[in-house]
Amino acid sequence: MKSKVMVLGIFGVWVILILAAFFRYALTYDPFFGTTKNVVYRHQIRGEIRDRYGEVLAYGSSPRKYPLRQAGSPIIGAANSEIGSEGYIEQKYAELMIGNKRSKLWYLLNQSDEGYPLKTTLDKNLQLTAYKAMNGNKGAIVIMKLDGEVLASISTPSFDPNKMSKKYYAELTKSHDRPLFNRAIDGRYAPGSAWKLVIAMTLLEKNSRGKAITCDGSLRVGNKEIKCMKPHGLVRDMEEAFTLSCNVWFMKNALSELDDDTLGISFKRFMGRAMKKELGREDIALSAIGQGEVLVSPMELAMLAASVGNKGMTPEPHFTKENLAMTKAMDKKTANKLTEMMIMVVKKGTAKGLSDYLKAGRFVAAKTGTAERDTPDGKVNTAVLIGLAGHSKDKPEIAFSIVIEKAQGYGGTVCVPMMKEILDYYFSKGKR
Amino acid sequence: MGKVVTILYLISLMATLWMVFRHQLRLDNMEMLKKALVVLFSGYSLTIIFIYINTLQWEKPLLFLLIVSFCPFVWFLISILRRNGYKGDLSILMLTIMLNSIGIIILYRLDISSGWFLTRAVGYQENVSMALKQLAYSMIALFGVVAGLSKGVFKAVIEKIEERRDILVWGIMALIILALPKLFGFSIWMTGDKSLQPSEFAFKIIFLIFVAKYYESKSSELILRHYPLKEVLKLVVFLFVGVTIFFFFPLVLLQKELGTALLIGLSFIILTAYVTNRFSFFLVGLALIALSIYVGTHLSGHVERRVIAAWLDWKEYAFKPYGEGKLYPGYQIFTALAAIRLSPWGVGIGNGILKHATMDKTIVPKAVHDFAAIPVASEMGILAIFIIVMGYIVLLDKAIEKNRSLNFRNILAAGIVIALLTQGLYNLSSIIALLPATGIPLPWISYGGSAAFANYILIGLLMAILSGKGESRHEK
Repeated sequence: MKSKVMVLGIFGVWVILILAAFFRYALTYDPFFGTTKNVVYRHQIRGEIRDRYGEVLAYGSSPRKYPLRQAGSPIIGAANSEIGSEGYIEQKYAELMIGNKRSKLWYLLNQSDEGYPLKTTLDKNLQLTAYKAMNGNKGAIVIMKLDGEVLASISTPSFDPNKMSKKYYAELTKSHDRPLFNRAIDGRYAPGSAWKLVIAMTLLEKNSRGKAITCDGSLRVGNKEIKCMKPHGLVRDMEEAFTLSCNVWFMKNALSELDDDTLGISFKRFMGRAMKKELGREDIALSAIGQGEVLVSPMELAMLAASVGNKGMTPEPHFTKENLAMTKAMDKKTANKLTEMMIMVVKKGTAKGLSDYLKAGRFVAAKTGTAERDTPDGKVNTAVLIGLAGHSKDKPEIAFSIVIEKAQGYGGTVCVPMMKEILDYYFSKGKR
Repeated sequence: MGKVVTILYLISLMATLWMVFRHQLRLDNMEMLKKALVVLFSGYSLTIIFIYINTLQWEKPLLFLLIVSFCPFVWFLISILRRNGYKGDLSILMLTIMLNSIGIIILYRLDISSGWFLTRAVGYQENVSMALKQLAYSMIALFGVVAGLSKGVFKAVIEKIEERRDILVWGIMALIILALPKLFGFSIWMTGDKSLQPSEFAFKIIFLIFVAKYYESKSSELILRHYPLKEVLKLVVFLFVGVTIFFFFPLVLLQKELGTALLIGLSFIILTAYVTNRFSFFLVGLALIALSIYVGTHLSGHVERRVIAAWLDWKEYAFKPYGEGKLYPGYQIFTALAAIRLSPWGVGIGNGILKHATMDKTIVPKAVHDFAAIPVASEMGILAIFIIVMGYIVLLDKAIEKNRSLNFRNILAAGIVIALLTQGLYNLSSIIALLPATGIPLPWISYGGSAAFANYILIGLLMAILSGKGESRHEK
């Protein structure tokens, strides 16, 4: 009797261990299984992706359809049983869209495995307009509300998610244009003069308005000659330098008034990438005009614009309705001053192409930028435009940033016409 | 719909299990037997019909008819036994049929096919559904068991074995089975079609006979309540040396069959604990096995990969190769666990994500072989796993005698059932990363011909032993 009980006990304990392990893996949350390599997830049915007005951005499964086609990817992405999921929203919010997840314990209630619809903050038509405005250029556009809700996010060249298959995917990964790379979020660009916003902010925080300086077209720092667009002559104060986008004024004032610690602290608020520990004179001069050590993503540039428009509060960008806390980046006074200067850029400066809206009683503020980069094929421009816009005269509603790789021109000549196209659509829609 | 069918099927399985557990299913009490068969096969047919309509979309009607024909076939087997006046308890046969039907349902639902040497011999080159192959293997093996039982073949075999007094014969026989192919330059574990490994069953049975014979010869000492521990230890160590020489060394060194060696070792320590009635032997044996695995990881790259990369660090190696190999050792466990994680109660038959959309292949690698319990758990839930393990436990309960009379038959019966249970539970533990995987199939549920034959021969012997007891008691 006793020996039988012993054998039954040995196997009984074993059985309990097995069942406990099954339950453990079935019920506990483990982020490891959320990876895109989880083949089981690939075959799971996902719900629709909708934009902020309920318009469908992705629906169905095997194959999943994407009405926006190239305009939506790679921010929406593509989910496919052959390659898994690719792109930002399809990957990051997979768990929210896949069915039978919410009520694991209710047996019959999680019958329908159709998945749950995901409502995003994107605006389908704005996304399409922005993609059209891109007009075949390489680069990225981000448009977000001031509270961080992303309305549109473009990265070109992109891919057609409706065509996704193993073969197409292999072509995409090999392509030199890197269509799978999400430039809007993961790209790193030198912002050029647009970064003068941050330098101006740092100077203002030190209660300095800068000294008057005579610009003779270039400045020699160490053994490097850094040019200005043209010799500006006497530049009296920050407003003037900002509107004219005078490099020499910003470099000289940064070198005389700011050290690398101060710059490091203020750059950190808007730039995720870590800089060199100690900045030399050359590095400081270059970073004062948004080159050298300064590399930011289009999303970070849009956040910079948004924090100026938000009276100093930096929003957290997001794609679904969430209430995220904002962090304070600068004083209200500083932000107001920067906004004023950005409006001046539209009125008189490099973004003059947008000044019609000001006359029509809209709110527009902007800053252009052009960064030069040495490549084997010669000098290449990265054209940048960041700014704010709103329907009424004194209240910004959206922040935007455009970055164009290998631009045939400058921020003022390449990006401003694109933004005009987008803002035409945005203002024609009226407030929604 | 899939979930409703799953619930009904699980209820029918549970009811069958309950009936087998509570009652003796004898041919002179047909009421109970009929009830159990009707309950089991109504659940089976319902599920098969559902899969035919829902998953296969009315395709392959011939296959469907053949799969359903399992029910009349079992009835045919019962009638053979009745005609021959078989008097024993059929509950063990019932349990194995129940487990076997789960395996066939899962194979039928996965709808995977592969080449088959039997049909190729006839000239049919197309792939054949694995469910059909498994059904054929099971039917042949079941028919063999029933024919052997009704003609008294198993009984005669056991009597023959009992007559041979010398123990060493069995050890040498095992050694020859393992060593001979090596001398001729081929391994018995490689016989082309992986579903048939002829030596597998012979080897397992010979091992059990060897151990049972030895313990029987020492039963007069072991049966004493206060026999000194030192002397018992001497007996066990002596046997352990014998088992090592005749079984472990040839298995590990000549055949590199570490999984089988591990399994035999585990069955051996549990059987020893049962025979000597000392739990401490089990613990010491476990420690020895753990130690040998630990040493093995340092000696062999193969064991190291199995133990470290596929078990302890499977997360690390789920998507990257270990060492020089191209395989991702942790990938199989990863997909298996991902399939379980969909729902603890199962997503319903036909709803699971088990098969590639385009390819004739399961998503979890080897899901029909070693990982057969994963499709079951994924679609029918952990409740189905519970029913399977309870099936094994009821088998143990039926097969082991309450009073420990240490004759050859009793020890062999206990050995058979302990070996089967160890195999089943080891398989279930390895698919959820509780123990390192060894490539051991799940009895009656995993796909495989030789395993089916081996397990059914063991069941035939077990039934012959148990029914023989009933008769002798009857005569007295």
